[in-house]
Amino acid sequence: MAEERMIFRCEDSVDGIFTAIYKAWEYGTSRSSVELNICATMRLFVQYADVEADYGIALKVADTIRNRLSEEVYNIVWRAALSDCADKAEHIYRFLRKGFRMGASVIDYRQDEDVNAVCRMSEYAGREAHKYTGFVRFEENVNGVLVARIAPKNNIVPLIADHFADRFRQENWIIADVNRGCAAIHRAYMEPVIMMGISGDSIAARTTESADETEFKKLWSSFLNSVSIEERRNRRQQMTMMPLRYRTFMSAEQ
Amino acid sequence: MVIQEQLSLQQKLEILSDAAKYDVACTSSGVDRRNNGMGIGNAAACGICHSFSSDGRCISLLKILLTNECIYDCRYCINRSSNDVVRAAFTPEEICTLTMQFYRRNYIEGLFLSSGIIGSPDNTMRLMCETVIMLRSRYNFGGYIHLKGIPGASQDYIDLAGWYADRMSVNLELPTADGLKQLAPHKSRKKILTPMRRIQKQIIANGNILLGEDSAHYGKTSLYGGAEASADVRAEMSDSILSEHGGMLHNINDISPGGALSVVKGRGANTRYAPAGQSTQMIIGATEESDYHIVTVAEALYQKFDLKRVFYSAFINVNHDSSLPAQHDGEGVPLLREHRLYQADWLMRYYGFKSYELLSEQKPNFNVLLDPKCDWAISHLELFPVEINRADYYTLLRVPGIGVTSARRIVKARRCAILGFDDLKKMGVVLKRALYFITCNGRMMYNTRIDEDYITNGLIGVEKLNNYQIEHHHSYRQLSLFDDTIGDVKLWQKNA
Ligand code: SF4
Repeated sequence: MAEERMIFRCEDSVDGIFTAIYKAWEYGTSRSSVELNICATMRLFVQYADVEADYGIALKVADTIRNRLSEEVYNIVWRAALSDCADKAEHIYRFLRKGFRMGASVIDYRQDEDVNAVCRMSEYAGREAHKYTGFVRFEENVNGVLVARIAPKNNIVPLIADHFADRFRQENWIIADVNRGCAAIHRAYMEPVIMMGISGDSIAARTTESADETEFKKLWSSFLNSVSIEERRNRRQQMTMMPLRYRTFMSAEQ
Repeated sequence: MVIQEQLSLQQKLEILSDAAKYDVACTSSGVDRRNNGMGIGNAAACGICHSFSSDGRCISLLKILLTNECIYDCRYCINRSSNDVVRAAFTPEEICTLTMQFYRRNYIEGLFLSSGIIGSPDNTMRLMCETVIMLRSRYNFGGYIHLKGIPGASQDYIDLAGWYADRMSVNLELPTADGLKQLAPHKSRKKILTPMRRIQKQIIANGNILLGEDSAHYGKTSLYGGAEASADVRAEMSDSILSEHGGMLHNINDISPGGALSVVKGRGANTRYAPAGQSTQMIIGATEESDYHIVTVAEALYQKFDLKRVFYSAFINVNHDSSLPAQHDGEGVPLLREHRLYQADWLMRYYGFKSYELLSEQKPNFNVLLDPKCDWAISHLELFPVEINRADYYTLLRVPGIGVTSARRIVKARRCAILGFDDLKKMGVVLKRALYFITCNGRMMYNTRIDEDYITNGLIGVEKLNNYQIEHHHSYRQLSLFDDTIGDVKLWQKNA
């Protein structure tokens, strides 16, 4: 039995993927692979093992990447693991196998399929995160808390939390990913906390607008109208730079 | 001219953002600054776009005029004194409120403040200084500030402003002194270049005093010789800055005796003068200059004034002024020309091109059909093809279809193995352009000839669609400068 090929399946989270990679490694890299448990197709002649995400194990994997490769490689892998690419787990697994052979310079090896895939996934998530650092819109609620809702493709809340924690240090704020039910919650002057399992209702309950909110929304909206130059009108360019999917919660930009 | 007093904040914002929109720069890039712990805000060197207007431009700053009242009469400007438009003015408090409230909702990176000339250049610059000092000191605003230097304003105000603004800019307006005389009779080249020079001097003198977190930038500022200075010299300079700085704060009280500015205490000022540097802009197509003329002017500005950016603004005849190029029904705004100038600017700043390589007296204007890099390559076929596995970085950069990002990737990747055409695709090389100019391991991709007409034809096919889309911008897709946009957000935004 131990000769058989084994696919380690895990939940779609960084902890899940790292744990599955650890288990697959233990089992033997030549006859194991890793995939997300949302990948539906089951194959014949392979064994499946469902892996429970384990924070302790994931941390070990993270430390190993950091120490044996580099902080930069770790960041690339981390962002790739937060991307919404279905086959990311296996690519990361194979990327790491190559990485531990080649060292930190593995990321220069772009001609390799797995390296290229991981770098691309990482750039993809990173680019969306960067876009959202601009496109997040906070609404001030009656308690003075700034609440933002986003619906990103990639799991970017962990990627942007620090940026906003620094920028809005003295504010209480929440950034909620309405699709994944996860949120970054920030109390003034504290570190942000990432919470899972936040329901849409519990966010909606916190979005009753403060008195000022309506006024500033209106001001912003008229600013957007008046800065545009009619003679250069170019809706398609606007659409390319800010596709509609970003605008779900940008009330002035719709 | 009367400034309307009874306007609501909403009305003022409409008027004063509308009047500011022709200033093209909306960049918030060039400085990294963490929250200082005393208030709101930080700054990101890469620049962040918060929205895109319906003309497709990045919006990152609250771009407004302090007032659209103006004693000058520049022909191209909507705010000129001879125009009959509603005039409004913000109070400094109103600007602070808008900036703070927009900022904390994440609408903007910061403030871009410009102004018509109200009373006198000095009076205008004083009001602008007052506003940004209030924003930094009383409101503890730590976001980005871009402030216009007003031509003709005295040195003291220019010296003061840069301690509160991240970026300073003085508009060149028109590429030549003659053009300026024609269209902006109240301004002169000298009045514009004087504050520009002063800002440069201040940046050089005070750019190498790096405190705290900024010290990581030593390498960069060594361009100015700062990093080589001994610790003693640095300490001495830093002392002199601090005392000079104290002097400036004293000045403010002189400016506004007992007024709002007496709140200035310690906090608020930058650790360096205009840390995001200086920029300028010029209007393209209102006067007769050739592209060659414009790029040489831009090059001189980069070299002699250490500018961070030169912005080009396609002329729009907003006043339907009959002495200026006519644009019936909004047609004829020289957008493709503007685009070519940005491409050339990019080549000069990041690709090591010199203006004389791109254009000359004999060939004074850019090719409408080909981008400047392709155009250059086709007239230098003796340098091609280039072998991907051997050519140095700068040679790679000169190949059409290879950008900064892909050239870097090639140089790294070929250490591991010999690269083929498939590998290049993964690195973001645009093969449909590059294929005429490169070999991989001694072989061309197809059986193409190194022949001027042949390659031109091949490339024009690729370019035609792009150019059509720029001219007919209503259907225009993507304003990418070159094809090397992968992984480098900045390259996406011409005006950022
Ligand atoms: S100085 Fe000239 S360009 Fe500036 S606002 Fe006045 S008229 Fe316009």
